[in-house]
Amino acid sequence: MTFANPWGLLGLLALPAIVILHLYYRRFPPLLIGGLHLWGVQTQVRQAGRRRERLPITASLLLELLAAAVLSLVIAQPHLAESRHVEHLVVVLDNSASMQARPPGKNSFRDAAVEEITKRFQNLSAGSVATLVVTSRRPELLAGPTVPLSKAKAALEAWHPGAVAHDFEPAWDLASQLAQDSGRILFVTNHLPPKQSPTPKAMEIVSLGRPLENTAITAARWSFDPKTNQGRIFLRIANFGKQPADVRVRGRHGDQQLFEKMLALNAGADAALETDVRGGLGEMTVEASSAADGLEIDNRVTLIEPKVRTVTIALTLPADHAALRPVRRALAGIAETQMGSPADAQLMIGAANALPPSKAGLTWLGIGPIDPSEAARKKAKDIIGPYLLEKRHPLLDGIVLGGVVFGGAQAVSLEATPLVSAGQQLLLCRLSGTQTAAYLLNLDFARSNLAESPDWPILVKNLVEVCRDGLPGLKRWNYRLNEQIAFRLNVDDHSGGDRLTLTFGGKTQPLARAPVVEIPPLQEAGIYEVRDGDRSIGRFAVNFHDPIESDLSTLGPGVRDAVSTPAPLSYQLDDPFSWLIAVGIVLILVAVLADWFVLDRTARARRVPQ
Amino acid sequence: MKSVRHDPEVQQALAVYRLASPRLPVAGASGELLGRGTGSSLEFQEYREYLPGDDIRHVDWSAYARSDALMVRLYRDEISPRTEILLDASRSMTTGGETKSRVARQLAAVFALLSARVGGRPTVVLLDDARPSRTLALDALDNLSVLPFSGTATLPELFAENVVPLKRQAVRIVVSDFLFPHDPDALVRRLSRESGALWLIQLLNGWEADPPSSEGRRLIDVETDGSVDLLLDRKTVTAYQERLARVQEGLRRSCRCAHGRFVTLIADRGLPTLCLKDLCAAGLLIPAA
Repeated sequence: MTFANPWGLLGLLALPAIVILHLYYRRFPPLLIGGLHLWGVQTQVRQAGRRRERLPITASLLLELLAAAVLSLVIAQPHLAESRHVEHLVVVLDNSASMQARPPGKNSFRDAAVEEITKRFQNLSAGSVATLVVTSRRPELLAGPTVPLSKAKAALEAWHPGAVAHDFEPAWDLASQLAQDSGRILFVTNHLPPKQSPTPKAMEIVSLGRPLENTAITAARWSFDPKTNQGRIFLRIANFGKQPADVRVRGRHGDQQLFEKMLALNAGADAALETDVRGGLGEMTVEASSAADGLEIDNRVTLIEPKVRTVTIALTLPADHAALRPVRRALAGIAETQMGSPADAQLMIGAANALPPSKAGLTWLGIGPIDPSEAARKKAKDIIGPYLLEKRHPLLDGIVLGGVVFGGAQAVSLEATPLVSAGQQLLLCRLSGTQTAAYLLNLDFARSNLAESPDWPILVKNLVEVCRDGLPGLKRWNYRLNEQIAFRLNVDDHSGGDRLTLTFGGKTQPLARAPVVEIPPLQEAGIYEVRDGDRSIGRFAVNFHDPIESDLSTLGPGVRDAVSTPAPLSYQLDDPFSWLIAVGIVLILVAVLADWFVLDRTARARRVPQ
Repeated sequence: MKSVRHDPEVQQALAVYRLASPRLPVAGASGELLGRGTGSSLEFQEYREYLPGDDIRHVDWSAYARSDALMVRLYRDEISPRTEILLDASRSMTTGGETKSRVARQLAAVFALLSARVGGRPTVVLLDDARPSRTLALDALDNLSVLPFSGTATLPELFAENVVPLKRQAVRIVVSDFLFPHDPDALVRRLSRESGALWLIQLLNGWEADPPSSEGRRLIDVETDGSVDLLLDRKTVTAYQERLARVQEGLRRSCRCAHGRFVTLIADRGLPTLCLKDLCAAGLLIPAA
């Protein structure tokens, strides 16, 4: 037995104090009687000082001693657990999706891991504790820290690995912190990590995997052409096994089969598959099956039909503007756009000397010259570089400006953020002080060769896509696990409720309302729906695409013992012995109440004869 | 304080009970009680031969005719006995509250008034520190109400000082707790000396009769001021009860020898219950017809 708070034993000093009080400070209330001689004593003459007398063993004394002793023990918190040599086992569970792989006719690696850990639990002494850590990009506690084995077993049964490939080091670090210097760490996986991996010294590694054949859908995309009202499915099927595989690929919409194709894949090979589907399906499921397949999660994807996000463009350039033709030529090759009036347009392209209204959701490109007067044009410069580009801006994605002459560049007096500049001269910038996403292209097409360079259509395409990204709703409808998902709320639409939620499989998760709503990386594959109050504002699919996890050929069994074995620590759990404290408290209460009863009875008896 | 004579419980006792005949006194003034000796009442007692000086009116001439011998009829004498009620007025009668002293006053009053009802000429002798002891006649009975019970002298001490005025042939009723050191034979002998009858009534309060065991107490004798710290545990209480029982048995045995009666009353039970249960059972009171 040990004591969590040995100082509490100082309370035992109360025992001799109580004895002394009863011995020297007895309460002898006076009682007037007649016939003192009948009490067997002669009249006592009191002398100075106090005589030592035999300690009267009274119920009050015993109850007070009992209360003091039990109270001291409760404060000291005795623990009987240490004598039982309990251990703390920290189990790190490989949460990779490949743990779901199942050898033909056998348990999955996950089931084997549960079985192995259960055996380890059985070998621990009673009262031992465990902590379960699952690996992930951000490791999590499945059970614990330091929970009884029964609770750990229950949590283990509910464990379903399904994470994409990730590093194990964060989970190992967490396990080391939890184990401190005493607990044992057990890492259960399906392949031994490389020997040079920074594994904790106290960690034992058990791999329960074995190489398996596997075919998987490693990529899936659904595009839609509004002109033909036709959809197109792109799939990439890979064979990660050591043997050739015949893969049957089937596409279904509900119970309706859309297509079925057979692919013959050599070992380690992959193949792309494209097929057309009619528009308006909404969603579909694609399954790839082969005779020898170890992992099921990568055989099936669910796809959501993409929505058309048409950008309405208004061209406000004067008819004699040198940029009019190049702009029209560049816009002609961009899909999902339409021309419209400035009032309805999401994208306005006009002369730089006519600034746009301040309007949220509007994108504007002003093309020089900024000052069309002859004098200003004469003072304008022709710049051949070098150019400084803000490469991180999506407007300049793919822009190199090699050999481009920015002719007719004028001084920019507006407050702006440079995107392309040459020295102090702004050539492409974003204007500040307006809700409109306003860009200024400071050149004169009459004196520039930008329109003839390959960067021009890219720049216009980027401009349209920047505008398209600013449209409300989802940008895409099919994602991978752990992918960042964001969508823009329609700021003009206030018909929804206050509660923005994400629903999946009956579960609802609140989302933070913002102009651009970001959904944290999702860990489960399936169809998700974003709801604004009771109204659905978007559905998207999340699928498992992870060639690393689908490659089961590298799995293998093995055991790697811990480099150092920590001294077993006796952990003290309050749970099994909390009843002792409860019993102690009850005893104290009983003793105090009984003491009170005894004293009260005495007091009552005292009152009677007087 | 309310007059003890008009105490409702006393009045109730007077209405319900009458004094039982004590062992008859030999002599006394002519009255309603029959004496042990022959007298002039109409109740025939026995025959005996005529002796000179006998009242010739009591000669049974019929018997003379039958037996040719002069025989005289003897009749029981009608007497009016003196009743002395010795009331212990010491401090010990005040322990345990007012109950004990109140019942003592009530008992003295009941016996005095019942005795007076049969012509007993009662007097109440107050056994306190007064020298000589004070006596209360029937008409001064209300003085019992203000009796302070402040005496410290014990009955043997008073007898030793010969300050208790006792009359010959009187019926003596002693009301005391007898919780003073004494020799019961000597005490009873002294009380019964020249008495017509002797009743000893020991009056205790409930705690004195059956003290509960409890924690330590400082016991202080109200009369001697002696004190002692005692743990009133079961063992100590049992020893006290045994000593008290020995005192009671000694008094009872001595009373038997003196043709007296001894009864212990618990004051907490109240006068009505004491009369109904204890005094009637002891033969001191009998229900009035």
